[in-house]
Amino acid sequence: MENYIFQTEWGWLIAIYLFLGGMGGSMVVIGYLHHVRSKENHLAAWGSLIGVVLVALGTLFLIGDLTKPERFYLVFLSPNLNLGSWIVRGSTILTLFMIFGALYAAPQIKYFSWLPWSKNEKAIRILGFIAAFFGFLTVMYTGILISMAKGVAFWQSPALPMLFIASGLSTGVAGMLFVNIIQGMRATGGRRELHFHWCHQLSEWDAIFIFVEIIVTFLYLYIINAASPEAAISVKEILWGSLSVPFVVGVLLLGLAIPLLLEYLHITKGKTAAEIVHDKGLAKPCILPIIAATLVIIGGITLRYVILAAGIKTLIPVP
Amino acid sequence: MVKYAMVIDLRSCIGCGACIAACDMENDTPWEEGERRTHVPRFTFGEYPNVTVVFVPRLCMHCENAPCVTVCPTGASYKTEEGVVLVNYDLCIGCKYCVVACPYDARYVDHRKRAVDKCTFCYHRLKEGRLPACVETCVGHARIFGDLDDPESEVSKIVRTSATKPLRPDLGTKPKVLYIPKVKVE
Repeated sequence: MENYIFQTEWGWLIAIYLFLGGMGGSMVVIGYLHHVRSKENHLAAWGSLIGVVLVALGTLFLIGDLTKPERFYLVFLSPNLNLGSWIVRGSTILTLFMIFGALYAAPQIKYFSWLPWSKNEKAIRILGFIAAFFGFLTVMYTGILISMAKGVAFWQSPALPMLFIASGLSTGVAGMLFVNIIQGMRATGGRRELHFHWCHQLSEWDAIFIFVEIIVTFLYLYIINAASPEAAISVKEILWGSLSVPFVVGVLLLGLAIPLLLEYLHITKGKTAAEIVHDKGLAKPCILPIIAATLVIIGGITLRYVILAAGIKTLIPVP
Repeated sequence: MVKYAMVIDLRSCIGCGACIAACDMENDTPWEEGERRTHVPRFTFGEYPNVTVVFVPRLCMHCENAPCVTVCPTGASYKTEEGVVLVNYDLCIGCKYCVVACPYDARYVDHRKRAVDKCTFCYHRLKEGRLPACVETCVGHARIFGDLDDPESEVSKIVRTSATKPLRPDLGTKPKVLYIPKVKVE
């Protein structure tokens, strides 16, 4: 057999971009769901705003990876634009996401309360729905983008976008947990207990997404391993080969197993809202979810990097 | 219509690398950086004294279903009427999607052009009625170039009479570079 080679064209910059797209898009999805459920928009607004900022930051990484960053506008304005390319589709999704995300989040924040629709709850809800829709498309697109690259068999699986959705939502919840805790630390009395309650709720959501992500990870690796010899090499490399430390330790252990355990401990053994009345701040009673969220984010970045780095190029047998 | 194709006769390739040098001089590729449009990897089968060495010249396959053209956002990668896959360097932004999409590892980033580059079948020479530089220089006549739509061309005759094979036909890319295999020791 011919010696196999790893793709090196897409590295850290693209991994960070895929991660930020997944986390930022999900923060608006989670923020909107929280908004609808709690009938409260303070957390949703700041979370969505940070989500939009993260995606905007991600696009800078994407542009920075181009060999001609100064011509990035050609993905919209090229005279021969290829509407079938997932870079064109993705750039459009990202742009619409950032526009609607900003329109949804901004009027709920006091500095932008002068915006005409800031008092119209119905208009904000509709904008939120559209923003969450494009947020979800953003998360999904990051997986579709790489699964459409025909030169790397390891990526050619419908399970990969599913994995990126599960991981994206889990990192999005982690981001919302941080926003929630920062807001809760500044709040007093009943508001503080409310934020503690949300911390509980977000921990539950995170546990569900992590659980789904573990199952999808297993299914993805198990099935792609049997799909082609190239993909089998990729699976071998991430489980036992050159990428086993970042994958097994970084993704499986730190990014999935430990956070799930911590969220579980917080949900079952953590304090109740009544018990935290005399505690100071919110960091101490929510310490387990805070550690879990940090680990989930580290795991999310590592997962994107490992998936990219494990891409083995097509094997070409001698005719 | 014209449909350009190349047949590579693996029985005649001696691995001299003249095609690589000719390509570099003709197309001014920065090949010393590993950025080149054609290369000739060597494979060994069997054990001494029953050994077969096979050189497999590689270049862009100019696929009919070119995955690089499908993914290119700006239309910088495109296919001409004659079926030649080319890159418009002014439109290429260097996203490298085509490089990861190409199953044949035929593309690379040319750091001098700041764009993706690849074999063009020496399109500029074809327009002048000349052969690609690698074909013209090949000492063993291992690279045969011509028009598949012309039944009298040498490539058409070879494709009709010999068992030519594309690389990885299972991918559905329909390459227009075909190989005549060499008999290997068992």
